[in-house]
Amino acid sequence: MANYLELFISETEQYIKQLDKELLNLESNKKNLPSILEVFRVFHTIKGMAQTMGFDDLALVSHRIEDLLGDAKSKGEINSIILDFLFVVVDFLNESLQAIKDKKETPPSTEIIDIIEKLKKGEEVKIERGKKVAKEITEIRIKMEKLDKLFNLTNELMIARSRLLILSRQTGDSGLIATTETVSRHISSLQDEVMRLRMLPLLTVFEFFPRWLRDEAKRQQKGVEFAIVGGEIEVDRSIIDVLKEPLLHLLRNALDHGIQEKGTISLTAIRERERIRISVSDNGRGINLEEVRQQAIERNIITTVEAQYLNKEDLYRILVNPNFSTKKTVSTISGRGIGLDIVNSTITKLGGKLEIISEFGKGSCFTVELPLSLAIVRGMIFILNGQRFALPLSYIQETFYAEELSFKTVYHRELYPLRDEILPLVRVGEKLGYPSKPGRKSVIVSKYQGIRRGFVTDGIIGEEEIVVKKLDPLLPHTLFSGCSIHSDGLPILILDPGGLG
Amino acid sequence: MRVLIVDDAMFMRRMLADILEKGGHTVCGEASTGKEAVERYRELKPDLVTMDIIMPDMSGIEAVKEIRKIDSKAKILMVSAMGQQALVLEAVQAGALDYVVKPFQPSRVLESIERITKK
Repeated sequence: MANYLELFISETEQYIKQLDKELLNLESNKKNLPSILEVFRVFHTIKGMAQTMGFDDLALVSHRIEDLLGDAKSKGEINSIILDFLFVVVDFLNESLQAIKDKKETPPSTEIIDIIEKLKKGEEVKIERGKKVAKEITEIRIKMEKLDKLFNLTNELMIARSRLLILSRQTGDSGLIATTETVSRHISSLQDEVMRLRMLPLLTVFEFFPRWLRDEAKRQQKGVEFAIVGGEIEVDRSIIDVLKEPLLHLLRNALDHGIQEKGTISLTAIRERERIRISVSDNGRGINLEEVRQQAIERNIITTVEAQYLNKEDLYRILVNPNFSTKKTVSTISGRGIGLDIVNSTITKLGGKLEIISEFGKGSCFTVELPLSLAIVRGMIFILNGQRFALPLSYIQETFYAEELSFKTVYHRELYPLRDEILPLVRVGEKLGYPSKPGRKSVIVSKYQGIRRGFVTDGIIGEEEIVVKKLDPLLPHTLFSGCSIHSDGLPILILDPGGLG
Repeated sequence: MRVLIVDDAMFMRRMLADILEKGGHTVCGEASTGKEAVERYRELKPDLVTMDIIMPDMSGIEAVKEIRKIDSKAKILMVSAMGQQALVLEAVQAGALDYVVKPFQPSRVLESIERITKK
């Protein structure tokens, strides 16, 4: 028999190719009788050869397929389920032949035979074409939990890596240093890859909106066209998790306050280096800044005198003030969920910002800008009372040294004259209960919710990429947004500029 | 005996040829379709034909009928795969003298040939 094996393989290969061709013919025309007959003949021939060679599974499948094709032969038309299935069978033939070539055991025919039985009985069968080519799996599903574990492990590696680098340099051993640097490089790449695994397309959140908006618009009897752009952009899961509520609120606003009878709302995402910008814009009525000014006075948010000096940007900032709302009657949905002030504070807490652009009578555009990931941030490391702390770089505008003597006190508040600006100072150390030490200070100028403040510290170490870990939710930590482990293995608390007011 | 082998698979033709030659016969020709078989028969006037059933352009049964038209004493052995019993019967009615079913034992093929030639 062995001398026939080669001939069997090459001839069967040809027949499989022919099958492929005929099946494709049938796919474009299911009533192609010559092709049906040819498919039948090929299976018949393969059956004969396989039987002779003793490849019983292959012979059995071919034999049963002949039976299955009886109907198609007499009707002169093949049904599409059987056609789909034949593609799967071709994959099975290929697999079997490959196994024969590799002198391995041929795959069992039970699964295929099962399907044939069901098809013959007219039972419903779900055919997944290409399933049998699963040798080359291109996608698998992983539980987020497992990915998180992997992520945490790589973060631990990152921390150990930094420590290892320092220690190996201390030894002065060039071989050790070189090896450590190689290991370190690989750990960095590993972390990059793991970070990438956690990325999801924005569509994961966006896909919920069209239906929601359609239903709400219908209820309010408004004609709204909705467009989504940039749903394919991928961001870290930590961002995906927090995006839905703020965006939903902005869309609600656009629908409730922007669109009057009909109009267009667009949700547009663009990526700018390591940041993502998501805009909700509408061509509705726009924001009446005069109305905002009047209401702000009525609600005692600003004084009449202040109102005269407020520019556009200041007025937009009033929109996110918790005490403010321009809509007098609460619509059925604007009362629900979170307000614009909460959208703003949510976004700010995540190291992002909310931008508002509007033109009265033409429409509004609310843009949320966020980092692509919350898990790793660039932070400024500074010292207070000998301890290290971090502040995310996204809040920081500049730093400078200042002698304590140059600080001014007005109504118990410390200020610093920076260029033509009076900068309010915050003694971070005092808030943490540290004794204040006189001398030269490093001041970090932070902008949070539109307000610039100077955080007084004992010294600045520098910028560093920090892996953010959540603090135990049971700990009261209004001052901190998270923690991290510094390269020397010591923990660092990450300050929340919102809590330092 | 001079034998014409008709089968669409080269693999089967090779195997049959080997069996026949080992049994002392001569393979005078091969055909891979029904039509080809009829033409070959006309040219070669073989002593015996081994005939497959399912083939392109003309089935083995049609070929048996055509060959019997050329030569009413043509000796034809049907060689078919399992599951074609009805067709084998049809072939026998059309004038085939015996049949073997794939997969076959070499001895089974040779015994059949012997039986046919004695008829």
